[in-house]
Amino acid sequence: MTQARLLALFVTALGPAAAALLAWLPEQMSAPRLLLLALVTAFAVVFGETFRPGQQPLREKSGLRLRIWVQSLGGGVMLLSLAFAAAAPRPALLGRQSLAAYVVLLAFLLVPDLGAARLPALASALALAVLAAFRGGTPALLAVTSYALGLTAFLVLDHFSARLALRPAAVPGLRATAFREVARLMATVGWTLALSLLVFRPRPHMWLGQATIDALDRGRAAPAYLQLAFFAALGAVVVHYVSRLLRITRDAKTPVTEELQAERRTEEAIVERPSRERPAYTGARGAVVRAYVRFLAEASGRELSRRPDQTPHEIAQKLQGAGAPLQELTALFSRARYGQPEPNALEAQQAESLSSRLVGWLQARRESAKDATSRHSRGSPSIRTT
Amino acid sequence: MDPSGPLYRLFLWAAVLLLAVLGAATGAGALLALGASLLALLVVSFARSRRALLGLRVSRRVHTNAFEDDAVAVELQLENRSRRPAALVDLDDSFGPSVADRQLVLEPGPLLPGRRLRLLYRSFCSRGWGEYRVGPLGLRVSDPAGLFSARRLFHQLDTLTVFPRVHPIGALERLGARASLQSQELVASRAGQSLSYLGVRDYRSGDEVRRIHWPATARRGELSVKEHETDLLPYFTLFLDLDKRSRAGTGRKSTLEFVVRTAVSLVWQACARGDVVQLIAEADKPVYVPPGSGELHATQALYELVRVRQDGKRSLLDVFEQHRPLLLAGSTAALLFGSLAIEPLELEAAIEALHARGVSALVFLVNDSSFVPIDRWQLKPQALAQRCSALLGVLRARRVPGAILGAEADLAAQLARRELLEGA
Repeated sequence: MTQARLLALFVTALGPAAAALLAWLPEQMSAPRLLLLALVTAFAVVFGETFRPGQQPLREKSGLRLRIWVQSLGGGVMLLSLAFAAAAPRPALLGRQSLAAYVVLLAFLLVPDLGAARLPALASALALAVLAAFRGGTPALLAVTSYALGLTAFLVLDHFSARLALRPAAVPGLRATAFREVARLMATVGWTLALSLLVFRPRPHMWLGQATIDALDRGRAAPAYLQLAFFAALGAVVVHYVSRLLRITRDAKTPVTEELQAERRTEEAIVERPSRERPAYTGARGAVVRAYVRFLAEASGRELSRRPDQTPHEIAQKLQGAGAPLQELTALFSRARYGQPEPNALEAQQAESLSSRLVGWLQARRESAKDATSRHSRGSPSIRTT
Repeated sequence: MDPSGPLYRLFLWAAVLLLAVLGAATGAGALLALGASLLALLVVSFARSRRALLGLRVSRRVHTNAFEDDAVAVELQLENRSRRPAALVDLDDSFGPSVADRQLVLEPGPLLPGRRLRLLYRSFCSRGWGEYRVGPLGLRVSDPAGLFSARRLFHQLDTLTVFPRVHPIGALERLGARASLQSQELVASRAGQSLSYLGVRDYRSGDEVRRIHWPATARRGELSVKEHETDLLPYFTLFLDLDKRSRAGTGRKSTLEFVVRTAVSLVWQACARGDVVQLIAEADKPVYVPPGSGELHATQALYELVRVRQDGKRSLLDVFEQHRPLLLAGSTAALLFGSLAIEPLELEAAIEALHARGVSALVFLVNDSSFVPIDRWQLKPQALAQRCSALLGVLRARRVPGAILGAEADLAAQLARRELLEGA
């Protein structure tokens, strides 16, 4: 996984760099020089990764100031390059800026701990991709494609590598997952890029070759460059102090955490509890059961507060006021529900008729209770105060 | 969690913005296309991080109690009820007795759909005794690129009671005991009903015929009977002083701390020996653990002890007088005073009363004047020395094992002395 990650970083860095140099310094970029470029980039990537333990002092607090200065200056150079390139797209200038951006990229590849994670290198590669994209055509296609796909692969593999750094035993089990995720994300990004390129054609910079501030004579341009350099240094100072301020506020709230290695115990299948399905009753048996259930539904809540453990005969005993019809219906229901022989149509009809009679009895009982209540309330006038 | 994920995410958002501005300003379509693809990467990653959380559940199983400095095993059950395998799942828990705020556990996976995985992490009870909360549980997953992470909180809260560490107490070997009808490990070499054989003696009127030892009878020519030893049932009662006038000191150096630690050591050690133990105290309400034996009973007593507070209004001697009828002859009673504010004569009377009932006494007094005073003045050094010598004199005169425990020395060392009287 580490090798794949480095390969992805190599592609992310080399594609835009080669495209930018090919775009703006085509005369100087012969095949051997391109090969040299690839070798130098590969060396920088491998060197930076191999000798990372030796850069430990840079990661410590003592190296913080140096890191911030280098990042601020690198970021300033990149932003100025892009600003100049966007505002004054003269090929000679763009060529020099591409070379400068590549040097910065190499520095961050060789000493990755000068920045946070691999961010400075990725930002430098992005600047090179932008410079190449200003040319349009094939260099632009090469730069954006290699950058987008390489960056996607690198982010996924870097994430997996960082998370599994302390768990090397888990790497073989997750290798397939990591590469599957790389493929899926690259497909998404690749398709989006292709569709976007169909909509936004890779045209060159619209001001390429036009008269811009680049037309200024050398005597007037030099002070402008000096001023820009001064502003870049000023920006680095501002970044330095702002980052220190942010660090102070962040340190105050850090909770104490403890990273533990968990022991893997048993892994088992989740056995779902089987869902309780009511048996489907059909025919005469179903008619008898439904007739009884209809009566129970009517009686539940008022006349009958059912418990789950109550049997039909206990319910019949509780509703003794219902008399013989409920006894008959209970007997019919018990035979239909729990007995083997299928009830006949006559019994089904009898159950339905008994159920109707019992429902009628329940309703009549409620009506009479309501009347009694209303008579009682009429007989005892209440005093209302308003 | 990967710390570089948020940095990369911020970078990608900035890159999308920059590419959109530059692309729109310069007409370089490739920049817009690159910006769109990076935006797609962000959107897809965000959606994947949210989707990865669906169907994942975690629960915890933890024992309800432990002793100080114990390593406690906490079992987490991670379930994947989704249709996708889960990888790189971060579980976080809050184990109250530990010094750390959160315990982080990474489960690399992959955990296949419909599977449950049991994980075990161990953490130490680094804080002092008391009741602590364990939880809530958190579950965090991120997208494959680590740009976004989603966390779900499971409000499963458990309570873990941490008991004080048990210190060995030398004087407990002098425990009294009463005869039992059940066979016990502890026996006395006097005639009784034990299964252990003591010897043979002459037959006396009233002896059971079935106890006649026929071979000895035949050998000696006169009736002889077998004698057995007596099974002893050690019976231990602890009276605990929770009078609020005994309060002194703070934290680990306080009278409450000394009283509870000593009480826990006494109860646990007595139960470990197989004694029947009861606990009697009175804080703002009575604390009573009925007689019982075994580890479960000891645990129940320890639960009561770690919840006690020094907010009682009655002195220990009043409580003792009230519950004295509960003491059985031949048993042991330990009086654990939280202060030296006790008159030697009253202590002597209490010991006399115990001896009159045939109860062995054990007395511990916590020197409250050796702790930082809270709501009353300490005794002056001279008065303190006089009080200590008077109280120890009472104990020596009655040959009662006991000690005065002070803040200036280590409690474990003070309790471990075999001859507490001489040490005190």
